[in-house]
Amino acid sequence: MSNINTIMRKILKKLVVTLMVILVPVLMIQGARSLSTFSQSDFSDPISRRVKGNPGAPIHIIEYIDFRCGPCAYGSRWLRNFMEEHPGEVFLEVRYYPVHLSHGALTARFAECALRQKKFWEVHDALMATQSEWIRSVNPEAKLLALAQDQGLDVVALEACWNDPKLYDQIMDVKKQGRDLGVDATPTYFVNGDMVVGARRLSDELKRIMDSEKKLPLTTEGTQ
Amino acid sequence: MKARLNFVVILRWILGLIFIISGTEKLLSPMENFLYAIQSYEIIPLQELAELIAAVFPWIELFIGVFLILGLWIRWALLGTGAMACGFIVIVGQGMIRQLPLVDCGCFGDLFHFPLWVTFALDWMILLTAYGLLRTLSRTKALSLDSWLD
Repeated sequence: MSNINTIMRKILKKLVVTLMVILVPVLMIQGARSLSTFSQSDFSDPISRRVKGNPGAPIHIIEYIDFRCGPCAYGSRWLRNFMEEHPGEVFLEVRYYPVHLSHGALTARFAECALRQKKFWEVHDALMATQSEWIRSVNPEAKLLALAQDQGLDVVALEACWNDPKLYDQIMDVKKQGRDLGVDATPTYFVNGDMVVGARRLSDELKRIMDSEKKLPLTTEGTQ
Repeated sequence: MKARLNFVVILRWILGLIFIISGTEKLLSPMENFLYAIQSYEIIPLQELAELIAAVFPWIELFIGVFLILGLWIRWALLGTGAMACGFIVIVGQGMIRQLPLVDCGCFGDLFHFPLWVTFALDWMILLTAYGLLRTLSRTKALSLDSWLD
């Protein structure tokens, strides 16, 4: 009997220790996530829109992206092909949601400065296509400047633009708007106002819309 | 209990550290990043299943890593490690055979980038290490919570 008690006590002791061992990393991960969200939550003014496609299209998509995120690159390529295959069917607006405040915010500033030289989509596509190259650089500025030269941008004006401290706040304001709409991961899309998270989900949703020919007009939710 | 530091304990810690780093990076990144990595291997047909794996798997990695470092439920943690390594070998191996256009294995999120053949070799090393640690379990249990609690 005392043997059974001893064994039970040992098992109980081990289970309590196990519970504590599980609880500590869970709390640490949740804490780190909360800290990350808290440190990214203070911003101002909106900035210009980044749109393409037919404004009268039956499918309106708002895309929240981080240029640094792999699924965003995949989704972006897929969406571009879809728009080429279905001309006039989609109106797309890109919004910044830099999850990572190093490369993500830097490339968002870069793209925004390219937009001010009317080269947003060229730079957008180039950033997505070369993501695997610049994402590994500790200091990707040199690679981005080379990319800017390839795209025919005025590099001096570009540098002056991306060094403007207001720009960072403006981009973060776009991100805040996204968060207010419920975005917490990239890529997140609003397809005719309905939130769709992830590139695969987007392809499923668009295929569903095209299959059912249920092309709804634009709803105002999630648009500027 | 003779709590002596030995080579297999160091191997156990290294293995645990690999899993902690891998799990933590995935947990602190948007889930979609890992989901994309899973989807890139084109082996899981159901989106819901891929999402479930993307949500749960990093936690399993983290817990196995913590258990290995602290030496809690060592046998089970090593069996889990072996099972995961077998899974990785199959998944990465089929990706290599099918020549899927994978730039990176996705195992460490954005932290480290390894081509598939490196990942494949690393997975074999993890599997063999886990097997070796299981074979020398009495030495592996040195400096562990298991030896303190049992």
